[in-house]
Amino acid sequence: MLGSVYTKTLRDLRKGFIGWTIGTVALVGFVVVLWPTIRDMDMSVLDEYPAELRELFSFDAINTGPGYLNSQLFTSMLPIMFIIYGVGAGARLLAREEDAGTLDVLLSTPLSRTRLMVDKAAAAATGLLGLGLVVFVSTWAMAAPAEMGVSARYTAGASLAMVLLGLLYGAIAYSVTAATGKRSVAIAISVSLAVAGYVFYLMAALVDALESWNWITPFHHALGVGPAIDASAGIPLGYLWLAIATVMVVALVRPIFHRRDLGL
Amino acid sequence: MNEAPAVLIDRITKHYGATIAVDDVSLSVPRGVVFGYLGPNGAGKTTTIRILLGLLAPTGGRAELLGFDSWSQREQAHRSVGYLPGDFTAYANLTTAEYVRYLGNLRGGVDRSYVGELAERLDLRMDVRFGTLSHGNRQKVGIIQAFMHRPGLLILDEPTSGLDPLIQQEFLTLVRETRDSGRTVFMSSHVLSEVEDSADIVGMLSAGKLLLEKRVDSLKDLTVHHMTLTFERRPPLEILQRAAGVRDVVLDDSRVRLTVEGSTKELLAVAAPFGIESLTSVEPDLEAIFLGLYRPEVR
Repeated sequence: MLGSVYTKTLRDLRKGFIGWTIGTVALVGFVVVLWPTIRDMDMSVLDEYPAELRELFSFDAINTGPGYLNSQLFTSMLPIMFIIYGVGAGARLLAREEDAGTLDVLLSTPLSRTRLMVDKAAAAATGLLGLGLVVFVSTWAMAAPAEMGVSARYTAGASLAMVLLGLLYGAIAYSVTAATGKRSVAIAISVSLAVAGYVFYLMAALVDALESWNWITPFHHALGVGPAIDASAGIPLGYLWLAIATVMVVALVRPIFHRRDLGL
Repeated sequence: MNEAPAVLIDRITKHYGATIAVDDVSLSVPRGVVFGYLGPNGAGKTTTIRILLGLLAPTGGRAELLGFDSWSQREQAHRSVGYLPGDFTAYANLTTAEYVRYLGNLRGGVDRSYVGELAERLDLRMDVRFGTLSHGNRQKVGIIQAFMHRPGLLILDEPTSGLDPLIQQEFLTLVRETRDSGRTVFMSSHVLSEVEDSADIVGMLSAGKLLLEKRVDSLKDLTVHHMTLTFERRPPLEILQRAAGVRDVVLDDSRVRLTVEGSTKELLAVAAPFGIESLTSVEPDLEAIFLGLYRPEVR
């Protein structure tokens, strides 16, 4: 595990990942266990909500397996968890080495700054993909016996949307630390952007004037066209939007990291 | 390329806002020497060194390590450079063996048996986590990682900090061996004595400016000693005063206090017949040396 910065960083993420896995599996299990109760409940009380909100949280479909999982997992708890994981790793991986002073020796080897940045980012992305795999496997494994009518394709698409959200906001946090070295600034900026993105996503659903602007928020691409779509569609273009945005955020900041004074 | 000096600093300046940390410093360190980079704390030594390593961009000027530009060709330069930062630290959860293996993998071509030899010479166990090591032992880890790939140029920022005297001697022996094998050591210090014994050339930095660059043997003649001598028989003061470099002689009962600029050889020769019971000599700090050095010019 000490062969490269990538593997060393994976090693550093290992312990935390075990905790996140346990938490994620527990959450999925808890939601699935409640499914039979929800399925048989009278949902007429939800009719009181505005139509836009019902659509947003799949309330109308809450008696169906995918609708239930959408409202309870894929548009609520899981995006938050993936964003926290991504921002946490993104803000930490470079900045901790710079704060502690271990970066100086690391960069006194023939390792280039770009390679360092790519390796650390790849390790964080691997962590998020791993967590996405945990969501996919646990949801699929638990939903099938509970007869929720959830396809593997739906579960994979929804899990991927979580990973992409975590990647984008993690990349924002990572880029801010690469540009400034300041972990607190990175967390503040990326969390603010996440909250703003989510609020805008809700507003755009409720206010007609904003609807044509909803492409601007990542949540639209991850949740609006992601988990909620029916299983027959291909890979949504929104996913591509998220992936490209993520790569661009990191690529844009690379030249800044390349020429910045380190360890100040 | 091989003819390039080990370190070439060409009019380097570094500003932090209004603060000038390094002010127009130029120097050239030939290969195969030990260079002592001296100066009081805060003089700009660490800033210069971090510019050499490509961690900081100079505000003006440029530097080369072994012929490679320290900024635009830093990866090439680093292949042949070993670096010990002033506030060296490693990963708390890794043992020395793991840490050294990690850096070795990033560098490639590290001779494991040499790592073991270094650890033995510095008396360091390799299987202890860095987080549990004492300050002195942490510094040893830093020394090992800097030397382990037998680099052509070693850049060491206050390397003896925290080492006990015995290990310090072993370290200085290591430095001399490195020099004798034709490689170059660039080390900073705020203590003259530790550099005096091993360095061939010193540069003195004060408030960001390079005050002088000299061979150590010529520097020794310029140092100032404040001495107190206690005699069996009181010597005539004129005899002491006439010895080379002696000034400010004060008689205090059977004790004589005086100041010597440069070598104390002649003073001790004329004083010896009077029976020196005891002798103390306060080693001047760097500021005092600067003052001693610059007094003639100021006058």
